[in-house]
Amino acid sequence: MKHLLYIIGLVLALLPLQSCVDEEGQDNTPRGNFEALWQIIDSRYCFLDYKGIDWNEVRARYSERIADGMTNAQLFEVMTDMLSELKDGHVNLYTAGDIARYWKWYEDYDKNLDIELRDSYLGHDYSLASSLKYRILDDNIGYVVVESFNTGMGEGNIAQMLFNLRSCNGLIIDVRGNGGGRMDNARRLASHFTNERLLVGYTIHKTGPGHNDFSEPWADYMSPSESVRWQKPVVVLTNRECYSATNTFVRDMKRCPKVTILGDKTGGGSGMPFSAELPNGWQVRYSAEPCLDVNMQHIEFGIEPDTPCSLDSLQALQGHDTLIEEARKLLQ
Amino acid sequence: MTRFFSLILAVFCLFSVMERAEAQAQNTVFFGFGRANVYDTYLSPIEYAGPEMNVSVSTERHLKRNPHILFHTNSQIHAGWLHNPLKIAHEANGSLSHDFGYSYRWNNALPRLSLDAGLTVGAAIGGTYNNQNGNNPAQGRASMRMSIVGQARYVLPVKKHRLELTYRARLPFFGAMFSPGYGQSYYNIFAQGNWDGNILATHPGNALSFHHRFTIGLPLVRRTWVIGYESLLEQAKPNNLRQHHYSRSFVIGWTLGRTPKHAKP
Repeated sequence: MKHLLYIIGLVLALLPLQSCVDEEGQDNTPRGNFEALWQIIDSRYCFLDYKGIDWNEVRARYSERIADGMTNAQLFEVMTDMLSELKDGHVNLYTAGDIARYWKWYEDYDKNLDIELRDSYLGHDYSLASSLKYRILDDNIGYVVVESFNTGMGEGNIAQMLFNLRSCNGLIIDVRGNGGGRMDNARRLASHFTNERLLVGYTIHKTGPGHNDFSEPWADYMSPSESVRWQKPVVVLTNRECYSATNTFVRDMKRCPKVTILGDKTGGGSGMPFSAELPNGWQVRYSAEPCLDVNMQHIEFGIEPDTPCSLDSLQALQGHDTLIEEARKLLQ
Repeated sequence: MTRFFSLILAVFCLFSVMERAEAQAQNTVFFGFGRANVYDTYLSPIEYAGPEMNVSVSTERHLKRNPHILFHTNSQIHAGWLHNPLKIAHEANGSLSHDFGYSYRWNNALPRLSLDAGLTVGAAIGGTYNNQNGNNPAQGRASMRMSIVGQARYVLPVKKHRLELTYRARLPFFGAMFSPGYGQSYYNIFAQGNWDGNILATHPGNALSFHHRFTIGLPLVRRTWVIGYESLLEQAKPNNLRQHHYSRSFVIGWTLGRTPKHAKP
């Protein structure tokens, strides 16, 4: 029986064995949630040094506005103001009643897009391959509108569309107003415009919590589609609303032969956003993994077009979209 | 490292096939019900907790040419549905593991007490899905490990019956695991092919883990019926991420064959 007691004692000693990788969380208080948000951005946001942001100074400045008895609305306002210092459309704070966002990357610029005017070029009898709207314009130019990369577009959709447009002299791909979506959709579409494997840019990712803890740049090659590949000139129409995956699409297309980027600078948004949460349940989105251009430069603030062009309001009144018309001239 | 593990696995598999032909097996199935705590900073800085169940099948074979040596395996499935402290976000967590190896048994090390000690190799796959994240919605897990195992079994006579008190523990001491980089997306790894430090060596210094089970068995009607407590404590700090999976469960089970004579101290 004595031995049995030894065994039971050993078992009881080992049962509550705990280990050391434990949560480093904050309390669910205004101060705790503020600190948690600050910490997430401090350790995980990927553009602090690139944007020259002194995050410690930001903490000190906004911390003064945190009080124990403040309401959720007041806390949300302080956090929204703090996050707006990042000037990043990929940074959001989600609550049940509101979403903190930064949209100045396009709100402060000319839109260069009139939806009704664009729709008049498509008409009502356009074709629709998944999310790709397309038709052949009167001068035998193919016109494709990609409103979003969120909706899936398969190889079959793209190949069939390009096959249907095969007799056209050139192709206009209008991504104005496209705020992004899935990177694989954007890459899949771009891969139909090169016959060779192309170096389109680089990707880096954070390797630790330090502001400069980044991996070595990893070369991002785009392989040509094994399906139908377009061999004629292409013009991609852009404006400031081209963001995130669309920004990357424009980067990739700019590397393809026979492709011209026409319009306004894109909006940027080159950091793939990740999610985290605060102790009070509010969800945070932040840029985590930047992609670079072929010169290893950030494209967070957008990509310049090859041919700058703005929408002329007088021409618009006459039913002409300046960017589409300029693209048609280039393709003739 | 992959070649090293492949070699170890091949040797153990070869031995296991050889022993299968000549040894009598005792299989025990366990069903566990309890709670789990999952913490993975790739998904959230908040720990999730909730109910979890597991199913295990353990096998012991005594070698006929040397009854002191046992070949043993343990296969286990864990599945849990977890939530954050406010219960407004959820995670599904699951894993499948298999370990096998050899132990030496000291029968009657002390009166009515047998002690086992040995080595196992094993592998596990699994993952956690967070229902509110965007581009980091899930974390996949894959690992291989070498472990030391120990077991103590004490037979306690109670009237006409023989209660078997068994404590079994496994402590991984070397292995390898998959992990994304600190801020690396799965798109970057799998779609773009950027494998950058995603296979890591593990040891108690960076992945201290522990699996133990205490059961009380009652041989009855040609089977041993068991109840007990099981705990799986897994944790790691790969690529500056922090992870743990703590599982504690009440287990019930029974042997699927007659208890071999060798197993009785």
